[in-house]
Amino acid sequence: MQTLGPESKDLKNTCFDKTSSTNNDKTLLKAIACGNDSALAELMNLYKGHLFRFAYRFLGCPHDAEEVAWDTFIVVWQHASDFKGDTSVKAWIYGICRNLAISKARRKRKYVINPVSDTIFDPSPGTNPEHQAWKNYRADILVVCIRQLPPAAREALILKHYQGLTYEEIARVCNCPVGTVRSRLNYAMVRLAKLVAAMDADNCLGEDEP
Amino acid sequence: MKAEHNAAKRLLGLYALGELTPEEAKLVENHVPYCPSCQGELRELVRVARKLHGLEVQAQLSQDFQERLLNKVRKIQQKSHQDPK
Repeated sequence: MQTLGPESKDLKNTCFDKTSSTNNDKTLLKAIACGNDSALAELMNLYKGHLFRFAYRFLGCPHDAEEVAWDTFIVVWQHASDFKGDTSVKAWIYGICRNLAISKARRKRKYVINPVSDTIFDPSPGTNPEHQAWKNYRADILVVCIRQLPPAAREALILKHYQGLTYEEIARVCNCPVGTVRSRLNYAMVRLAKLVAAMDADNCLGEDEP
Repeated sequence: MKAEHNAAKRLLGLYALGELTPEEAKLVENHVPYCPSCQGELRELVRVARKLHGLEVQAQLSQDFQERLLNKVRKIQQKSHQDPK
């Protein structure tokens, strides 16, 4: 348990918002441990979208992803004073979220795969609708294939490629060596290419354009 | 040759994502032009890596997510102040 120093009274009463110059993850966490709600609100501003997208990509269901993001913040709030500072706050929070997402996946056993995906290729201006529909269809295939990856490979791919964590941060989140993270990421790509090729073959699809 | 092939093959997925060190990337680039098997695999991996790049999540958190969560936290705080153990 982290000892709260004499500054704890100040931290409890400090108002944290987007304009505060004192905002950094560790200060926010210390303030949360002192019972500061505005610090929790600001930490949520920083992380809620990232955690939701991570959980969504991992679980494939927006409702489950929201529950995981919710539970993550409750755990962070309840255990802010347990943060030891031996890792980044980001890695600590993602670690909590990742463990909750894995528990959720185990309880559900089967992932819900939305028939109409909530994940699409970001449309660029001037894209014709037919081409956009085709790209969205291809995105659906890719999303389904990502969800078929083994959990360890899937989380490595999502955390590195989409959430932008460093190898060191992912190693902390997943509690494994950096070399293992790289191996899992490489495996994720190799497996993903095979899954996409198999699905293309099943659907008699060729290259990218219709 | 076999050892070089195995070493390069182990790195192809990371190469397609642009995640190799310059030394590792050089190892792949020195091998692939002479290996049809690695060329084919790398072509597929690069295709998939390109597709991964444009993928955006459209689903969003409920608009009142933060407000509900903060209300929940305040309720728990109030309860713990009323019923201290």
